[in-house]
Amino acid sequence: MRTIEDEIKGVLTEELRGVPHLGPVSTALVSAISRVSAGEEQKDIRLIRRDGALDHVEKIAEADDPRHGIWLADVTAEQIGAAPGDRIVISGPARKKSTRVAGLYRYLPLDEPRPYWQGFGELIYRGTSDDTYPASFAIVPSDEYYKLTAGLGDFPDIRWEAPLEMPDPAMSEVVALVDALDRVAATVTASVERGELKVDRYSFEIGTLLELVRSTATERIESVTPVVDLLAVAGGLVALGVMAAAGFYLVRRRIVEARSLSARGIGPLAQGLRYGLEATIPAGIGTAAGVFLGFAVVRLVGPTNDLPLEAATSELPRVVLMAVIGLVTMAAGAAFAVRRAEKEIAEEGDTATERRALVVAMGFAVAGVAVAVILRNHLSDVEDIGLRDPMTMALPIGLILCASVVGAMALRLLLPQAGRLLRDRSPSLYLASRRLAGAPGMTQVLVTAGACALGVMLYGITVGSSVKVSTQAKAKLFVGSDFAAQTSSAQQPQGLSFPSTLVSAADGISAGDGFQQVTLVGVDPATFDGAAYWDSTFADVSLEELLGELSADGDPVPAASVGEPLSGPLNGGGTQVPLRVVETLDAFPGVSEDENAVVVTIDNFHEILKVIGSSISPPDQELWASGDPEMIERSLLENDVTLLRTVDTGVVLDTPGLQSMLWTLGVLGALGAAAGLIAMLGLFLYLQARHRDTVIASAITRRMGFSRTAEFTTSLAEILGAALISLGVATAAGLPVAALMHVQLDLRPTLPPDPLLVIPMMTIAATVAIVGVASAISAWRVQRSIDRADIAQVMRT
Amino acid sequence: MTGSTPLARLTDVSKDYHRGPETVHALRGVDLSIDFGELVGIVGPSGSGKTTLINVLCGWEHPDRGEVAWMGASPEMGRLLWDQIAVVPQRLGLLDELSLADNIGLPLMLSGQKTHARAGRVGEVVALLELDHLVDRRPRQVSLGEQQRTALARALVMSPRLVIADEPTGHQDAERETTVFDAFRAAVSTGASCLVATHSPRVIEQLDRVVEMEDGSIVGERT
Ligand SMILES: Nc1ncnc2c1ncn2[C@@H]1O[C@H](COP(=O)(O)OP(=O)(O)O)[C@@H](O)[C@H]1O
Ligand SMILES: [Mg+2]
Repeated sequence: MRTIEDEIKGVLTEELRGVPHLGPVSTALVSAISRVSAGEEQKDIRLIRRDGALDHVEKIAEADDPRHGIWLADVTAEQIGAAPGDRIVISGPARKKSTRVAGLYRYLPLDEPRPYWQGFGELIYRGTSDDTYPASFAIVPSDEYYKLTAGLGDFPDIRWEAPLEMPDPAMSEVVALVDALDRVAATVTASVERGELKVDRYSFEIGTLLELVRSTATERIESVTPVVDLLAVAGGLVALGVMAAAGFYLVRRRIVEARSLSARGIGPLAQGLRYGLEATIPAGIGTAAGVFLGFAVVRLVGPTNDLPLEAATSELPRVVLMAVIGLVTMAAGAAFAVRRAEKEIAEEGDTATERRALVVAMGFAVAGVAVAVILRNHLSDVEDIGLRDPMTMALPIGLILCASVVGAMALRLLLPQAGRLLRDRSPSLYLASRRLAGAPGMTQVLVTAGACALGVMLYGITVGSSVKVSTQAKAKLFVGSDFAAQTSSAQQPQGLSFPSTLVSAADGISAGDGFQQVTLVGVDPATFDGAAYWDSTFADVSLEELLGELSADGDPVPAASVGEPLSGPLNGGGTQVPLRVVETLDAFPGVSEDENAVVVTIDNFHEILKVIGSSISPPDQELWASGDPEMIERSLLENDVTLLRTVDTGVVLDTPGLQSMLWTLGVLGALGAAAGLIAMLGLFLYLQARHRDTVIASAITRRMGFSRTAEFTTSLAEILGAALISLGVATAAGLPVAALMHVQLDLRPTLPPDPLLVIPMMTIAATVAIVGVASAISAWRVQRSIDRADIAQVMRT
Repeated sequence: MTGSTPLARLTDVSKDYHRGPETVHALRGVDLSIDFGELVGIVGPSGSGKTTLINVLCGWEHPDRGEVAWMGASPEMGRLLWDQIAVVPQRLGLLDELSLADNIGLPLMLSGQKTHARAGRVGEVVALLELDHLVDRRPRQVSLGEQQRTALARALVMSPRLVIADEPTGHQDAERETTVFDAFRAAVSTGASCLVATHSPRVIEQLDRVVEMEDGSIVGERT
């Protein structure tokens, strides 16, 4: 007999012939939810028929003749008390039908994830916002399915699938495919409407999960775009800065020429223009190379492999414009250098210019802080601050830049003072401090650049880990611990390798005059302490003291209230149970922020329920455990604890908002680290190169009794000093900004505990260690180049 | 130049350089002795071997043949410290990060003298070389001539037995040449010896003894 599925499979195969990248069509029938029972207990199930379904589950037990009847999930069977071969009753929308249990398979949410079931995920797994799992599948063999559902008055969905045979689809391909599928859907739907394709009593729905892929991708692109834009702008500014610096240093290197040209009446502008024109060809080659390299990098590491070559041609005007702006910037840098060379008077020390620069930089910093404060106050009114607004990213970076510049300059001005203290203590350190204080512009630029980059790195890492830890804390508060599962066993499981506790809760209890709804929470004072998440901000007393107070005898029963104050005794069972509130808490694990709760010991909980239990819905019982959720879940299953509904903190961490924030901060941290590395490397190489010039000075100071060791100490102190100044300024700039911002980036500001600040001590220590080793290597290389120099030769030239 | 031991003596010192296949005889069997309290000049055209001679005497270069003696012994010349031999090299080797005063006081500082203790002596040589108004500047903020005088002050500051100067008046005007020369004279008057490689006729006139070099050999001596 030709079934409706065969019919549809035929039509779809025909229609999809023209669509590329799709494998053979398969179909499945999915019923609405029905209920199953073997005795009293009823449970939701969803009847399903799908080719090969039983080959993609873990069979646990089967009846003597497993081909007849339906396959139930082990958990469901246990709940209704059915075993293979037992007769069960299924209640459909219209009628009931009796069948038998053909076998048991492992409940899919607790099974390993299988690609076969991927398309059915939303029918299997709990969504992030759901409390409960979807109804479990009852797998029915083909012929039986039609009989059964017809008998139940059920109208199943027909689902079809065609595997995507495209390992790494590009966005444009996905879009094309979605469009093609939409067309097929329209054609098929039309033929259903015209009655050409008879779907009978079945509801036919045609849609594609690809649509979801497309929307997810679009969402991801949207969340990445502002960050990428920001990076592009920042990258552009850095490039312009480099061009200006290049122009400046080109002139500084040919300062004599610049002066003599000036003397002949060729002004800064003309000279700058000359440098700009000279650089045109190299800049052109550089730009072409950059575009080529950009293509290669994007092809290699993403974010897309869908970068058509036309992108380059269409962007050409912009690229050319950027290159021209770069050249103009460079010319300006050169012109500035020429002007400075003209005005440069030997008398004017660097410090005067520096003081002026410092004042300017401080002005900027103060302005930046003012803007930050204004924005901060403004931002805190805005819901969902998120990182979509690049300002929240750009602002802290700007602050870090200002702080780094000011910090580096201030330290440089302070250095001579520090040096004076060293003068009579250690000539090595004194010389190093003088070298640092008198370091030429390049060292300063590199130290400041390093400070900025490392500051951004520390900012990214600090805020990233703070947000993560804070969210985790909030998640734990929400869950109660790392892991929570609803369980039916009233006994605390024994012999577990991790702390666990049973918590009971009855909600919807009316209190006082009946206008207040409270949740009554019962905790086990013996085990609660070890397993539940607790933060000292939740209460004025310690958890231990709190549990002690709750365990005290007394009438009325001692309780702690969370949320609105308890308005009166608990009502129910036609009577009232008064409570004596001994503590008022700011938060309690497992109690959500908009919930009012009273916490009592588990013994008192049961006593109270004996009185009022008849008028409320049965209480929930949860097992809370702390540790790795996966390990806990496995271990509980091994210990035969039935878990009905589980939550763990991972669910909360998996939200797109948090993930995109962590991604952005991670990118910031990585970029900062990379830029910091480059700056540090540049600093080391530059300081090494500079020391080549000091061979003569070294030959002379050695004659003055300055030993090789002392010389090494000087080099090391100078190089390490520069690097540590960089790192110190970075820390002083990055951490306060992180402290300022991480509060702003709190995803759930109303939920305790307050955002935590995690200072990345390990990162700082590792950076110091790396910097130390690199400095030592650098100093050693300086020493070696001095040792290797032929002094006589150097003296003569 | 009687039987007594001279301060320094070069005996039959030769030094060759190899420039590709060609061998340059920078010094060819040079004999030279410098007495205590003597102001000796070396003159000669460029490339005649003056700097090579100075480098050998300082121990920055080892002769291929011949001997260098110091007060009758033959120590490793490179190990003699600033209070024995002090040098004003052609490239001065001032520390650019230090002020002129610090540069001049550097030998005292490195020998462990505290700031206040060395101030007096530094002041003396600064005055001697007319650098008073410049002491707080850094080397690149003063003229080449002033840098040269700074290097000379640095050489004189520890009152060494021998001061060696390679073209110390190369960047001085006539008036300053006298200043420089007076400084040498002052050093000699306290018992030091000076060896000065120079072109300047004005300096030559004032020297006790002038050794003429040409093509690596001493070709004449005037007193
Ligand atoms: N490293 C070297 N290799 C080859 N020739 C050298 C080297 N150093 C010096 N000379 C040669 O040795 C000779 C003496 O040089 P130098 O002592 O510097 O002369 P002066 O100081 O009198 O100008 C010159 O001809 C010079 O070219
Ligand atoms: Mg010479």
